[in-house]
Amino acid sequence: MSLLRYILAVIIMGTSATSVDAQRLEFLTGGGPITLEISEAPPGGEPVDATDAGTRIFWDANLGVPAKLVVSTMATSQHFRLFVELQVTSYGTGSMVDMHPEVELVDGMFDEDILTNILPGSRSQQGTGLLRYRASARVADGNSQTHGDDTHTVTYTLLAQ
Amino acid sequence: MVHPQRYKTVGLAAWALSLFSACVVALLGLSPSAWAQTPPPLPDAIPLAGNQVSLSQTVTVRVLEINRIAISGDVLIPIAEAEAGTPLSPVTHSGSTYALTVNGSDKKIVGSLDTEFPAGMELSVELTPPPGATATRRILSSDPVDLVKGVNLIAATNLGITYTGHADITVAPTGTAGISRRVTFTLTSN
Repeated sequence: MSLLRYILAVIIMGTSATSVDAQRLEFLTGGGPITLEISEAPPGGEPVDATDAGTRIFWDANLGVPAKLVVSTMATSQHFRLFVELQVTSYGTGSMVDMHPEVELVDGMFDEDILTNILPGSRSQQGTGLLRYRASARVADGNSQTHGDDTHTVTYTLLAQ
Repeated sequence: MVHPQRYKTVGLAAWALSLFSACVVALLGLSPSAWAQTPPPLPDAIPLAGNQVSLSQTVTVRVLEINRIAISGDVLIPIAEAEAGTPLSPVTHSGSTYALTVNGSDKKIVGSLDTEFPAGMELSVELTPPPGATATRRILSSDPVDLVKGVNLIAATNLGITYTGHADITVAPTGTAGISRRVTFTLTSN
């Protein structure tokens, strides 16, 4: 009887695992508000881009299927340009994630892939990366004194591919 | 690619199996502590469709007002030619250029000398205006004078600077060293 109980317990434990643990997406460093300030230009040239690479994220897809990371933004009355790129710094064993080129963040945009092919598996589904933001403005775009700052709420989503 | 509908079907089956298993546990009198530990994840666990997690960050882009101007090299204007019985001829130099970047509106360029020339000498200047702006030829002094007005949202290089030097007959020869003055161009609000 005790053997039967043991076998059933093992079956039950295995079965309950089909409701997977929650996937995780977290800031490891940074994550708070960032301000990118464009303040320099060579005489006769366009303003110099401002960058920030102080935000590091961690993901654990844990979806059981290939997963991806997408980005979108909300920025009402946007006047200047903002880009983001995820530079993967580590990813799970046996995995070969696909990094994507820099994505332009435009108010109202659809989700854009910044990382794909996060393969399932306890080792391959995790990784870390650096978010590199780049702000750019042309002379013709004017300045914040005239237009005000652009404020983006940038959202990253981890989901099944 | 797996169709989302398939996730739902399999997910439902898993849920039903869990329910059945729970009933079996209850019937056999297994203590909850015997199985309520963290289950080992199955490598092929199938998620419910729509599982996702999000993270947001606020990013502000601020562009400061930028006003930059630069001019090319020093200029030598030798005033030496005159025909007998006539005043010295003005000499024009037009090899210099300037560049500017303005990401604001309604700016102007003013020009001035660090100190006045001796009596009988004068230096005037005319700048080629960037597109959309207007320029005036002016005699320079230690008081700033408007040279270009209406500068808006522009990045431009190789804009011409034309100097004209003039000395009347009362000015004593200066020798090869000449008389140096520093000309300052300032980009400012109108």
